[in-house]
Amino acid sequence: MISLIIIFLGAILLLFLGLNKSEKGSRFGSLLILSIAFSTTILEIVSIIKKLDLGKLGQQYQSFISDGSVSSMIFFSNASLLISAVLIFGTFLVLLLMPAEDRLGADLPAIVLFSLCGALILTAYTHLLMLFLGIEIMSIPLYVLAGSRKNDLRSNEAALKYFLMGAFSTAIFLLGCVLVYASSEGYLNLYEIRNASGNSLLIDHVMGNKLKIAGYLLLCSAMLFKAGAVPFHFWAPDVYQGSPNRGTLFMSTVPKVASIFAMLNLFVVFFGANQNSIFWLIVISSGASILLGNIAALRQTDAKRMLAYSSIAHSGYMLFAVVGNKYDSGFIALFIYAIAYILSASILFFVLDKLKNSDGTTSIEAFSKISKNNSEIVFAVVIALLSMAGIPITAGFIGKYSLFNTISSSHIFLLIVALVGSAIGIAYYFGIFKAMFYGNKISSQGEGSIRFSGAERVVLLLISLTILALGIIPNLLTGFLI
Amino acid sequence: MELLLLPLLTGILICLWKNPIYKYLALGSAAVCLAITAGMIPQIMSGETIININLKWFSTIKFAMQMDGLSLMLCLLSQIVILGLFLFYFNQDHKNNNILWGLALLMQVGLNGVFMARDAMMFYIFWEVTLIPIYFIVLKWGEGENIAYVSNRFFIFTFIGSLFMLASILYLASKSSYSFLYTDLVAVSLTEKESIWVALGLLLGFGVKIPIFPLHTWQASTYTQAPNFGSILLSAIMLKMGLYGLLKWLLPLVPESFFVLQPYFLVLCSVGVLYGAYLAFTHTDLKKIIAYSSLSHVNMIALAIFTQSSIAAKGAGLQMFAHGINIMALFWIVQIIEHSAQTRNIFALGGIATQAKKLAVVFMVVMLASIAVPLTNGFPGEFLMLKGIFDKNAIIAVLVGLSVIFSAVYMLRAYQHTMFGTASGGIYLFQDVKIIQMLAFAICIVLILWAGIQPQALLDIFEKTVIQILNTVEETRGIVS
Repeated sequence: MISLIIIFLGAILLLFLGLNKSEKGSRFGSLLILSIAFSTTILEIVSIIKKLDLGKLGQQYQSFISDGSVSSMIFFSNASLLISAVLIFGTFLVLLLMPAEDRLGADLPAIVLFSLCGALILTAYTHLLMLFLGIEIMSIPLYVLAGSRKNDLRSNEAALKYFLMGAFSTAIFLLGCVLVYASSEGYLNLYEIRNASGNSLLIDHVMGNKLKIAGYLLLCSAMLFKAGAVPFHFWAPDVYQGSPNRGTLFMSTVPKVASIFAMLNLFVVFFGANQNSIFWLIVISSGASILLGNIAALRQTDAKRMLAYSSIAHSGYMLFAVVGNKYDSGFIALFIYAIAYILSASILFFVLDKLKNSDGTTSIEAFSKISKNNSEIVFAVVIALLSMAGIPITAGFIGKYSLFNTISSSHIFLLIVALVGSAIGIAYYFGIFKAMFYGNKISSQGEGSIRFSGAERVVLLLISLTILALGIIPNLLTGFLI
Repeated sequence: MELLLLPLLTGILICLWKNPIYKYLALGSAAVCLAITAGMIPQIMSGETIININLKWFSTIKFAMQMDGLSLMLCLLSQIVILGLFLFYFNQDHKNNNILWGLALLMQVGLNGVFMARDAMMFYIFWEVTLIPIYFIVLKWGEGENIAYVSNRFFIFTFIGSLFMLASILYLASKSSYSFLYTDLVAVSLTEKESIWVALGLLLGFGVKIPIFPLHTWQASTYTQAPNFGSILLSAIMLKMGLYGLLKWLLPLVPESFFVLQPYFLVLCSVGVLYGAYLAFTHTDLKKIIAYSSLSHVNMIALAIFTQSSIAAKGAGLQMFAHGINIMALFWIVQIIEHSAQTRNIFALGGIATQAKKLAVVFMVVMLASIAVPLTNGFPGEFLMLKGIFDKNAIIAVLVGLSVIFSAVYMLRAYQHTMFGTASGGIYLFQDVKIIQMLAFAICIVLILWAGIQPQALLDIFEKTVIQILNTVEETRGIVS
């Protein structure tokens, strides 16, 4: 809660102070704000750590109900705190690694911070209106972010497309809210909806149930849209490709994780046993995202578009946390996977940003440029790709393993789809290896290699070593919690 | 534990630190590993379990390691192969040689881990850990024209295989409340239908690596296009992981499926034996001949394991060791020939014996071992395997027995065309075996003769474990039927 306030006030401050300041200053300022927010979140986590029981995260909501404090609209549970730390850290990485492409001064960092505020609200809502506000606060800055390369047609297209589609999904979400409201004796507070009998005064039981299911379906669709999962993914490749690299990295990590965590809360905790009837939608969406994302990524020649499709597939994997329908194991799996995914995506997008052509595109072959005299960078990219592909001794494997484990007893078919998807994933991630290690054999003269500064090397190396460390000793992350 | 940490640390060190002494470090680490492993032999023979680690790793996965006779024999083999590789290539530098050697050491970590792991997820993790270094070795140091395609295909093939293995493991573990311990998984009893699917998943993982007959398509091109250094790692020890997996994991985990699946496995493997032998006969590229002869040999080993008879399994163990040593020596010989003659085509070669007498002698010994002539290491294994297969099914035994004759034909043909006669592919100055290479060859020849003359010494190491495994299988089957 405190970190949310810090970030929000900080972002406003940044806008005021940064009017005439350089991009560099505001970036520094935003990093400062984020580090303060991150440390307060960590402090909050530390303060609860003795009481923290990862096996009983879901029960916290139960006891909250019995406390009688149902009227509150926002509640930072232990799980929310943990995932907020991840989100703030992810945003920190985005702002740390990615230089802005245009001279927008303080606007861009501030926009990213505002969007993060929305994402943080998404982790802590207990009220449908709060959920709606969270989604909007998170999304509206993203539309701006997508269009922030003013002179680039593709960026304009991305912004327009994202905005229009986003507006539709908002409308769908609101309609879902209305139906749920109507079917549950007129509640918007999620605890009350959960406990509502469905015997509304206005409509009979059967009709009420139908309305409720329809409402859940619409809510679910809108959330899947935010997560970029199939069949609501059509915006994702174009928007990801058109946005500036910083925006793409942010969009494909923080809002995605936040919305999937929001889904976990909504469907597993709040809707509880009521949601079985629409569960198939999440299952199908998850399987289809994995297959479609991976297969489409296989066909791409542009590295950024490839990562865009692969992020659709990653949404599919992360949805397993919801599909498993067990709050605690699902949350831990999502938590680990999100960290692994954010770390490796930052490395890849940073390198990709360095390699981009003048028109903002990056072909996969361009990765051959880093293979000379950049052994640290090559190492970092190799680790990031291995982690993305979910190969053992990287954090990505631990995340995938945990996610697979949440569904392996209930949805064996989905597990097989996921394994097939991972196998396809290897093919395109390894296309980059091919470019890095083999590409320079063909064109050894090249157009000259890319230079990385010392600090950049150190940061990338640190991130990749973190991925490795989490893969080799996963208890670093969860050990102190359990 | 030292067997994992020592190569790991040395491997990382020499990857990072390009100092002339890195070769001595690598050699030293490999030698120490070999010494540690060899030092365990007496204890294993007296029936102790040596390493017994069981630590919590992550959620329900345990870091469980144990050394038994079979593991020890294979660890010994991998230690010998790594040491031999470093010796042989001591004076032949590749590009970025320190990284290549470092990767080989990292692979050694994975191999030792696979052979010692007693937790299915640990097994899987180490299994994949071996795959990463070898992929980069093939990709970065490979010589062929489409090496990128070949290495990616190799990786994707093996990775898909192991993903199915992972699915099987996860499914099995979901029946034992997510404990992945070997003993717990063995205790799981499945219905026949379930166990068939689980067995097929595991078999895909192991079978691609071995490779068993219809899954072998990646093998020949990878062996030929990879650097010899990598081909040796792949063929001498990496495929033993698959065979080890069949014996140690597949048979005890899913004995229920074997009433149904065994006939199919036997037929597939026998086809593989004969098909490999036939292909080895039709090819003229020395490396391809070796690759296909290896296909034939390892399918025979897999066949022997699938018969589930203890005699055949003992033979399989002996043959695993023998095959590792022999194929390593064969690839070295190819390396020397290719280095001087710049070709591997046996028809373009010839008359090497007149210029390189030592090489001719070494090649002769190794070739005889590969044909399984008595008093070489190939014979006892092959004999026991054929005996076991014969007890199970005489027709299959007769058919695969033919492969022994085939192997004599293609190996003698290769030997004759390379060593005798005159070269038709132009005249070249041949460099004979150098001293340090001779040392490496000497180790191989000693092992070949030792295991040929006194096979019981080697057999003693792993005999008990193999019998124990087969007894477990027998018991579980007894319960089921």
